[in-house]
Amino acid sequence: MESQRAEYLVHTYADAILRIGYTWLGDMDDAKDICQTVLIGLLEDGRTFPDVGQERAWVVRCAVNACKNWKKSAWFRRRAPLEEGLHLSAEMPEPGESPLLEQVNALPPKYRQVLYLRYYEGYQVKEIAELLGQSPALVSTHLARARAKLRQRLEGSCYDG
Amino acid sequence: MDNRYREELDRIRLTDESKGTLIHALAARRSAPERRSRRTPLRRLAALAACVCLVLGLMNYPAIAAGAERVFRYILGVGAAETSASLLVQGEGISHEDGDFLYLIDGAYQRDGVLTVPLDVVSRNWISDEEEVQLSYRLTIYSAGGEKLTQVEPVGDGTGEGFRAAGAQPYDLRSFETTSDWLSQTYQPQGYVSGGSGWHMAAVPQGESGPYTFEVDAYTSDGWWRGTVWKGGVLELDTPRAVETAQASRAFAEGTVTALVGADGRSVSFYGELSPLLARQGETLIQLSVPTVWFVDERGNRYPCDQLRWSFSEVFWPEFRLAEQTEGEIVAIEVNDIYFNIVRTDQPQDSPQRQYMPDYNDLGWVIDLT
Repeated sequence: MESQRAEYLVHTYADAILRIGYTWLGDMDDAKDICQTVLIGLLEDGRTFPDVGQERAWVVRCAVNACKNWKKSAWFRRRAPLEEGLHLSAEMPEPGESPLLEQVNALPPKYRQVLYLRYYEGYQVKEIAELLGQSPALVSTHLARARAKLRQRLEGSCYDG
Repeated sequence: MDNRYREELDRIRLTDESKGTLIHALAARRSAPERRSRRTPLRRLAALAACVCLVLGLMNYPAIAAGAERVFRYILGVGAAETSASLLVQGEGISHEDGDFLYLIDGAYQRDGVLTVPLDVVSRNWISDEEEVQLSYRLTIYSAGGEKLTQVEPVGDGTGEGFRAAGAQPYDLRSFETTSDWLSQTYQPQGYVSGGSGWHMAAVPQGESGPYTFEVDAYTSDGWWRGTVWKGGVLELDTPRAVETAQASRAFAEGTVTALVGADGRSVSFYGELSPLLARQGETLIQLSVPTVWFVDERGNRYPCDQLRWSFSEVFWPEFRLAEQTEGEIVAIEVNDIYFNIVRTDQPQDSPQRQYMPDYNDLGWVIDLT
């Protein structure tokens, strides 16, 4: 049973958590640690949700919170979630293969985060504000600035706004 | 950009082999018979354990002893403090302006032979959008007799080496646009746009009570000295005055967390006590983290507020102060996340079982102040 649950969580959410970790922290090794940490939490929590949408929202929230703590506290940065020998490998686009993502990743974290939540997860500004503990006005400002910076950087390419 | 961004980001994924490894590790961890810890051992544990021992040893903190009743009071800027503690605290905050930077010391205190000084730095300069700036600051403190105090740094620098010889502490200076903490709420309206906080500690000779003099030196992140930014500072300490509080507690498997709320509802400090069982087993709560709370006014507006400082529990318990103007009186405080960091002192320092970090999310703990 536990094995099935672990399998479900990894297949359903590991990649999403990895992407959140990478977007928030900008470091793939940290993202892998976040991935382990959050999956352990999900497995131990064991709660169920009426639908997949609510479950995913909870997973996103757990991952975002884990990233915030990772950044805030040196203690949390030093956690090795599973045994030391667990080395995970991730697939990444080769340089030049994902020009938009490369430009997004070059933005400051605050911009990457709102872009991810808005355009990857499809959250509304109010939902993002609640998740990040910021005002909706600030989230809107960050979104606007992030898009403006992207537009500027991708000028001449096929950026469609 | 939705589809293109999504398509490109989707190409970041764990390999199938890694997913298999992860499933196996998670399932094995889940079924392990001995699972006191909900979180696992720390990296570079030996060095960190040494840090913890330094803190506990140097400060002679009363351990969270089994069965010993501890009574706390709330000292603004310090947070929760045991009434039995030999404590001197700073009265008025002090500050010094140096160019675009303002340096502030508020909430310094002396307990059991150690002087702890929080230092906040705010700047009128924008932090570069492309990178967040990290500077280091060293606080050199002199006793009333002019003797230089020994600086102690219980927190490692993340490299596992334990202690920073120079005594400089790194500060993350962040744009106030991205933070909602007391510092940004207080100083953004005054035209400051970025800032950061840290704290410094020094061992003081027995019987020493100040006034202390000090200077602050700034260094770049790669260790270059930038200059003395605050000379001739004077820090005076006095006997503490506790804030009148309302109190609320919540029980967890590991113990009890208590909130001490200031009379106006605009400040709160938390402290934690391990359950008698865990305490008897030699476990010690070294860190209690409450990352964010929401202050709720009578109109239902929710004001997020970040923890004032992060550190060992007995150095600073989590404290929150709402600087933002509200539409109405604060009538409730909401808490969603709480993290414990517990050391099992019965385990060897190099044991992977020595430290664990239970966490609680989505608590929905509402402290009603009406």
